[in-house]
Amino acid sequence: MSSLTSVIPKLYQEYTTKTSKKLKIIDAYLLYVFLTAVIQFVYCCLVGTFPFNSFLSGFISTVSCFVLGVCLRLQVNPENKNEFQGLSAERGFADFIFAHLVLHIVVINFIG
Amino acid sequence: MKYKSLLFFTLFLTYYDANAQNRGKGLEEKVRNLKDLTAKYSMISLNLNRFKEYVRSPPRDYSFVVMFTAMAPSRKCAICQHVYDEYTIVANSFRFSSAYSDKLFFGIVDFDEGSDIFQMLRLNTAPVIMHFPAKGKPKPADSMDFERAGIHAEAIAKWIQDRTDVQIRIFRPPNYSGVAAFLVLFIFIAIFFYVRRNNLEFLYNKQMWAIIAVFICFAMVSGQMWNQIRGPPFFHRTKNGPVYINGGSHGQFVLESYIVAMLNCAVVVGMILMIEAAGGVNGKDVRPQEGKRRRFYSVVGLVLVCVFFSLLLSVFRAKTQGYPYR
Amino acid sequence: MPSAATENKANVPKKGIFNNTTGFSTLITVTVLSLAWLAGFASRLFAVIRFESIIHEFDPWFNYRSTAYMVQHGFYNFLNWFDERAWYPLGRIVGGTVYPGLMITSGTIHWILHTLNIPIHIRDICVFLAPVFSGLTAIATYLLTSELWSRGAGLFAACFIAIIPGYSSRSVAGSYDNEGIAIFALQFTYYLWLKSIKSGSIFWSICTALSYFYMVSAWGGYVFIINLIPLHVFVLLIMGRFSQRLFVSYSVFYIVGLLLSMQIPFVGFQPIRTSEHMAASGVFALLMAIGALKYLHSLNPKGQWKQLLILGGLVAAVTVFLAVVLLTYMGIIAPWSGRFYSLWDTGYAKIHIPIIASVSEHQPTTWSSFFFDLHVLVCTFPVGLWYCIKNVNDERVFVALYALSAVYFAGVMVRLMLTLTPVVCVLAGIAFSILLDLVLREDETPAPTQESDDKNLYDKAGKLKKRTPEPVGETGLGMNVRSGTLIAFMILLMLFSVHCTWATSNAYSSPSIVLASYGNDGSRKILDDFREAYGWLSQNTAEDARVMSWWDYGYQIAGMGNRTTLVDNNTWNNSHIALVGKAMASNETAAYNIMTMLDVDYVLVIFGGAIGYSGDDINKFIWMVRIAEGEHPKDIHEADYFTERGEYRIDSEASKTMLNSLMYKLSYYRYDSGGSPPGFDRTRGALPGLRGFKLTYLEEAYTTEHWLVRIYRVKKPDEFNRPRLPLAKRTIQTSNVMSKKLAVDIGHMTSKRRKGALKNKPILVKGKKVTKLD
Repeated sequence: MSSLTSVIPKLYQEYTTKTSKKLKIIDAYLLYVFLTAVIQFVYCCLVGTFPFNSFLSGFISTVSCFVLGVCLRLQVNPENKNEFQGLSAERGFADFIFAHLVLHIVVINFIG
Repeated sequence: MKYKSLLFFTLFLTYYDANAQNRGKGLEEKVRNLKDLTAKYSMISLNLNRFKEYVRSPPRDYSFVVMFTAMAPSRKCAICQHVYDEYTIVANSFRFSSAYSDKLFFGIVDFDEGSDIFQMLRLNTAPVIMHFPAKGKPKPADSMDFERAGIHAEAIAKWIQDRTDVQIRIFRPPNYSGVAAFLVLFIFIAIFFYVRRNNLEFLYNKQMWAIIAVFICFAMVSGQMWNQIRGPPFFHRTKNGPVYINGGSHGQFVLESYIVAMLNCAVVVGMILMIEAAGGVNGKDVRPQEGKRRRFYSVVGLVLVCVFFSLLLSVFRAKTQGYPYR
Repeated sequence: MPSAATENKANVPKKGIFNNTTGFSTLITVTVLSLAWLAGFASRLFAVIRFESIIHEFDPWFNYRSTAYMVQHGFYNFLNWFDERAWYPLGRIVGGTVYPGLMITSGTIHWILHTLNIPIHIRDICVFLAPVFSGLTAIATYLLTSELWSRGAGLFAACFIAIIPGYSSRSVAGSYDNEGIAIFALQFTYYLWLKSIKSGSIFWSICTALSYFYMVSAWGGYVFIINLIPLHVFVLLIMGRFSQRLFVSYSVFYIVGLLLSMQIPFVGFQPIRTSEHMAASGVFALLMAIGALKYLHSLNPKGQWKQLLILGGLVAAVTVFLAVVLLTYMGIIAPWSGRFYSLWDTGYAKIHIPIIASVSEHQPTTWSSFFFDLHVLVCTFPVGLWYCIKNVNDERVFVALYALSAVYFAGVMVRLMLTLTPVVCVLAGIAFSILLDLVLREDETPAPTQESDDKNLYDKAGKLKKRTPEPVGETGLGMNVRSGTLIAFMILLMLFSVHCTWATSNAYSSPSIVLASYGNDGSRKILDDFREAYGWLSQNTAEDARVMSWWDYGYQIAGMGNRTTLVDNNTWNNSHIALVGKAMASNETAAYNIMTMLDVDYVLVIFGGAIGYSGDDINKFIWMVRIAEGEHPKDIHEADYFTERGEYRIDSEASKTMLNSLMYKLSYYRYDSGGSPPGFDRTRGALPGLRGFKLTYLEEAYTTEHWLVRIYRVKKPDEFNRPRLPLAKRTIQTSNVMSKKLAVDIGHMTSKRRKGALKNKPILVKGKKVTKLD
């Protein structure tokens, strides 16, 4: 347990020093999206899920924004260069935009 | 005149009352006895006297379901045991359910104890499950037809519901044997892994996985699943000797499916031999002195493929009349 | 057709020769693929050539009817379509109970062609949709296989799937059903999935999700995809093949696919509510957990992270599993549906769902039907599987899992042969291509030098030079063995294509609404009784007449006869079907009560006794009894319909209940055709036990030429309980007992009041007559 508590500040330190600024921006976005999802979930637990498809579309759209953000972060990260061969950061961003287009068209259709 | 009729009326009433009470008493006693008998065991084992008293003699308002069976090993009645088990499940489910009442009792007559009952009912087969309704004599439909309904407890319960309107929810004692076998297997595997924990290389043995996968394919393609579900005979005996291949294309024998699996397997082995002989997938560099051997393997593989595939074709042709159809 | 198919086969091995030049190989690829498309298309046209351009069987009639409705009324009206012509008196909400992909596809094609001013009837599009899509399937299979192995293997696979009977059985011209387009969607989704897992790009996984969406809209078999892909991911995780590409492709596919699949009204919220879909979300959660752990690990790659990683993964897996189980217990997630469950517990359907067990497609598969549908591929595809596992990578794990699960499902149900067929083609294509590639390659190694020699005009001398080192070529297999192998495999492929052509043309091309019978001299006679009967219905009955028949014919009556049906092939309401079954199984009086309750005007039965057609209603009758017994155990007993000895017979030994059942009477009423003793039943080879009887409550309305379809009209109450009297007698009676007559009339009035004014007519007429005569 003590090792875990000691490890967390270390992790934080590693994070702040190692991560580039671009990635930090994405991380901030991810945190925001994550909080939105949590708020939606708590709201639905407290108030109820009445327009179920509205709740679902909202919740799923935040989750998928989060997922897409994570994917973008993975692809942009220069450490993963050899993992994603033939995928430049620009290509990753274009894919990200395309995915969001598809996603939000569907969400608007679903929200009712 | 008036008095007379009144007198007569009272007389009649008392007589009737007494009669009713009398009948009620007999019935009540019988039911009480029966309830005592079922207190411990859900089934009442019947001998001739009991059978006559409880099942045949008239004052009854309850139905009696009786199984006639021959449980002694010397009788060599294999199915009796199965039916007995299922019947016990039904009786127990009834005895310990909320629907339990004194309108229905379960009895059992063994041939070695009550052969006179068999004679009385002119039964010459076992097992038989009969229903004796509260009123009247049993009709032909009151003996259960195993051939059509099957011998499952559910089927028996359905039949009873048909005949007596008593609904029995079958409660099977959970079958632990499957779970136990699974657990034992699991433990064995765990032990195996633990013993071999330093050498788990075999899990990465592609050859093993490939063999397992290919065998699953053979099993399915040769219709083992059909065998599992339909339960065909191993092969068919006729006057002209055994028949291994089912003549129709909608059926098959167990042995036949094994034969087909073997044929498939031979074709596959032949083809793999040919590929390996020709250098394998990765295009291994060819050593000169191996030429003869490889050629030999290749020919063997080719022969295997041709011979066994034509065998397979001919088996298929035997099943589907006039297969080439031209 | 066979020539096209074989030519097409012959083209494939040639490819190896020109392998070195990209231009040639592209040309060959395109040629082979278009030939495959052509061969596949052509071999599916037998149905049109033998018969005519017509929609086949049962379900396609419904699809055709709803497509026509959609083309006529537009897409949104189609989604909101409430069909009062089916399931009388309940009706059916078609838009919400149908996979609309098929209708939308053909509707779109229709729309495009009409915008281009090519006038074509929607029926022709429907008839030819499946053959056209078989070509697309071939291309998708080519892409999938070349993603897995090589382009040569892809060409083989494409040729195989173009003509293989296991697939053409569901996609001949006129069989306008979901499966025809769904197999294309299936293969294409898998191709895109492999593509996305290879590249790790968001774009490809979005494409996968879109293709998955198309599949969901087309066929209920999409459940196969949404379980197979997570299984693939899970197995890769177990094998320790986690990669960030896997993470990207699966998580994007899952979340977008989930959202997309919920857009289909018929699917609705099922993807988050039923157990069938829970595997996917479980794997998603697991992947998320492992991804997070990996990320933490990458931040600080020291310490005991490895143990923590494994432990964390295990904990996550167990948590996810327990959560799903708990939610199932709490009733938030529905447990497996019966149809799905019966795949695992193979005895389940037989006991609990007779309506599933009664369909012949849901039986297990014998080896001979495997062989019939796949022929030589059945014993070569394990070779492909073998090499895929031996040379494993991420994609080949997928194809191995696909093969194993599909082969299991195909063993359990004949119908699922359809999902096995594509993977068998893929694997057999791989096997053939490995072998022929090797056999031809050694042929080829001297070839380039020869070609260059030719260019240098060395001619004979050069060739001779090259011949000399051939004894050294002992290393190889030698010319004889190679050519022997080549010839043997050419023969195998030839046999295969002949078999495929034959199977498609003879076994799978019958439309089943037009029957063909062959005389002793080989002449062909077309029996068109079904259309005759449905045509009669549409011309001679009231617009809103309600026709009772067994559910098999519901779609056809609605599609061709354009009349209201009680039950049809969309077997969603078991109790309603059981009610119809009960009516068929009861005696005439009891059946009449049910029929009046259901407002039946006509009863339609199929009777094959005269021509020996075995798929008729008497042979299906026992299933009607069983289904009826399931819902009405008090009134119907299966045992009553068998003889004492438990046989199912229709002759004089048949049981009384059987002889008095409505179905029996309707089938054999007035029947005097069919063989040497008139009234002989050729299907069952027996003389009916009860003959020359009269019907009280029904009257024969129409019987087709070969007695195949018989239609009866249900009499109105005033028609049967009033004895038909000659006119003279009638006057006397009425004048004598006026009051009684009046009372009877009043009785009739009340009994018929709810039917409306029309029904009172005969009485009024009679009253008039009475007064006149008086």
